[in-house]
Amino acid sequence: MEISDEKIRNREEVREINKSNLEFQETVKKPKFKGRKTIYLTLYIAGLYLILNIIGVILFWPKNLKIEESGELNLSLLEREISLLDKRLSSQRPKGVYILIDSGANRLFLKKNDDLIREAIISCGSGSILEEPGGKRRWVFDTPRGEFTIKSKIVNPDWIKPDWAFIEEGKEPPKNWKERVESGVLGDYALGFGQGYFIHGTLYTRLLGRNVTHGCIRVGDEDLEIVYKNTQIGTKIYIF
Amino acid sequence: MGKYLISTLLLFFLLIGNLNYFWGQEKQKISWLLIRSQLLKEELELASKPQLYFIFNLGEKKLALKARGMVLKEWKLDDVRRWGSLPAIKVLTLEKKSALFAPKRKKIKPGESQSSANFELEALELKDMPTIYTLRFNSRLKIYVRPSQKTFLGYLASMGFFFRWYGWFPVQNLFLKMFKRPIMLIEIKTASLDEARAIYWALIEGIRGIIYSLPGKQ
Repeated sequence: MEISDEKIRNREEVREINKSNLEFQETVKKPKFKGRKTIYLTLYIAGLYLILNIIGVILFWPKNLKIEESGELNLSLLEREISLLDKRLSSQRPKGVYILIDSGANRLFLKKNDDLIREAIISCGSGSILEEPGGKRRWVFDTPRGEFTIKSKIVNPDWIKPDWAFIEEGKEPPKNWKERVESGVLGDYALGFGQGYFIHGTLYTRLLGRNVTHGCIRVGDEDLEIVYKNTQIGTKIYIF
Repeated sequence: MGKYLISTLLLFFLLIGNLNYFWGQEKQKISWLLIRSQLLKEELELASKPQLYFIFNLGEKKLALKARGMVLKEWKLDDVRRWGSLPAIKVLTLEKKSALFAPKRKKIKPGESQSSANFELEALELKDMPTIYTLRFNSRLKIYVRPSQKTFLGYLASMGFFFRWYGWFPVQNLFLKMFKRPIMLIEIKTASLDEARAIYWALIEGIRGIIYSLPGKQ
């Protein structure tokens, strides 16, 4: 049977159409393939990260401290050594009365050994900064931290105003020291613990419990009297 | 005959097991005592000087601020976790405290702070301290501090911290180990916001102390 020319042409046209359809489908598929590639890459990176993470976790898993035992260890000897060390450590503790000051909570604890004699609300350093005009000097109004000792005990103290007190008020510090003396602002008692810092009274009792001072420790009148009467020169002060 | 053999064998294994148990217990006790004695020696060195220091027991989840062997303040922590081996029991120094919202000191303007009302505004107080911060010690040790929170935002933040702790830190440390500079990381969760602030306040830069892990009395 013979196939006419027209039929052959039609078949070729159909083939052409199929071919262009295939090409079209491939072009449509192409972006899908690209997306898959990104997914594979992401999965690959995530897998790699996971492996590194697992290695990290294994390597840095918390291990307990191992102390090397040297020679023969005797349990009772070790226990005796520990009790001796414990005794030496407790011998470091202050004997008798001492003062604890929590500068954050603005609390003073007057203690005798482990017993609390008095707890008082106080005012500690504000932590502010004062710079002298011209930038020559700078003061940070912090209450110092650490262990201190009462070095002086004063009744009816006068305040000898330091330079910063004048600069803060926008005045020139006077040359004559008599101009620096101010009475009645430090309360009835003052306990000096070095470098110009004092535990003293205050006129601003409503500010007790707040960090408002220039580094000194302000205490209310009644509490100050008890602190003054129960301490002596050499009494330890712990400020934290 | 068989019965006797089985019971003898059982008795033998029971005896071996018990001996092993007691031997293990004694070894554990010796190890505990050794760490304790080392700790006391190091603490004695700190307590013999007029200074504040800290003792952090990861095992008991307790952080104490001390002076002369006396506890000034102690915090019971909600949770403690760590990566890496603990350093040997030795005195460490807090080199730096850092926080995203670090407290800033207020500057007094000369001539403007004459009334007591102004003093209040210029103060840097406990409430201004951050609750989420990092403490960097020498010997490549970092402590991350954050409070336990029971709010929705707190839970969200906790998830972030969880992924950072388990997802990021091990990988980061792996790379640091490649350069022979791995760090030891500790994360502590305080019981409240105020406790986190109080720890930030109490641990001043330069403070020395000991970090160790030991369960309570054996």
